[in-house]
Amino acid sequence: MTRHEYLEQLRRALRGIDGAEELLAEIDDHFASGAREGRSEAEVASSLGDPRLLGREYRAVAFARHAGGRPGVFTSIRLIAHRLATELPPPVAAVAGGALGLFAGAALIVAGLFALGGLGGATNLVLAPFIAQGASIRLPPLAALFASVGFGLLGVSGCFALLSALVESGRRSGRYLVERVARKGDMPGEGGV
Amino acid sequence: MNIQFKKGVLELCVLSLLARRDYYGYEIADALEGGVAIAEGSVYPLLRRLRDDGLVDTYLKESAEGPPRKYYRITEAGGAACRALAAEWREFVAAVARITEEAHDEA
Repeated sequence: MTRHEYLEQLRRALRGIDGAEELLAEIDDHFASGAREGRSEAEVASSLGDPRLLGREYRAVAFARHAGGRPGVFTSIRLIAHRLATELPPPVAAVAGGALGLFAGAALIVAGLFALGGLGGATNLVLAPFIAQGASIRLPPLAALFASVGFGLLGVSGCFALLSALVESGRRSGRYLVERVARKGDMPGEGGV
Repeated sequence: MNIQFKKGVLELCVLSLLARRDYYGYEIADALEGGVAIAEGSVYPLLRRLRDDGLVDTYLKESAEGPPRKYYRITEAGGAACRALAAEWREFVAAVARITEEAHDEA
């Protein structure tokens, strides 16, 4: 494999990883150092090990940093997507992704209904004095106020619970990924080029 | 050799090298050649992890041959980790020596 091919494969394996450009520059320098010692590009490439495995190991290390702290929502989504894409066979990944999407959608709809309920309650309350007697309002204003605030809070906390679950699941995904790599001894070169 | 074991030893070797002077990536891979290194490439993810953990830091230095080169330097925490790992390693080697010698004596 040539220097150019190696770097291209590594670049593909590192897509979306922070520090990717830094590693690519370092590997490029590695080839340059090898060349000064009279080593061919093919020799350096084979002693570096499979670029896809190197990329995978580097990804795992980059994710491990997220796994330590609490990643944001978008990082969580990326971690879950990465795990689905790399851990599961493609058909299972598609089904799992679909199920996750349906679950998230359903949860958002339920949260939305609660929020609407809250909003409706509040609107009724505000409009109550202006609505003619015999209209749909049966609740005394104070009860309506409590009901709307309650529904509103329920909606908000539902959304919050969903987001926390997402973050937690992302954190676990990161840990799992790192542990799996460590367990398998998934190091570049072990079954390398 | 067991891969987990090898990885731990690799970390000890890299920290021990850096405890002596600053190195760039190729030099580290080169120094590890012969026995310890798994693949030269595996040095880089390890260095990234050591940096994320605050055991080493990096700086760029102008080089005559090309673009500025990334050097690794051990931190105070890295020095402490290196000493702890080295102590563990010596204990381990001593225990293995004791067991193998005893087994040898009995044979």
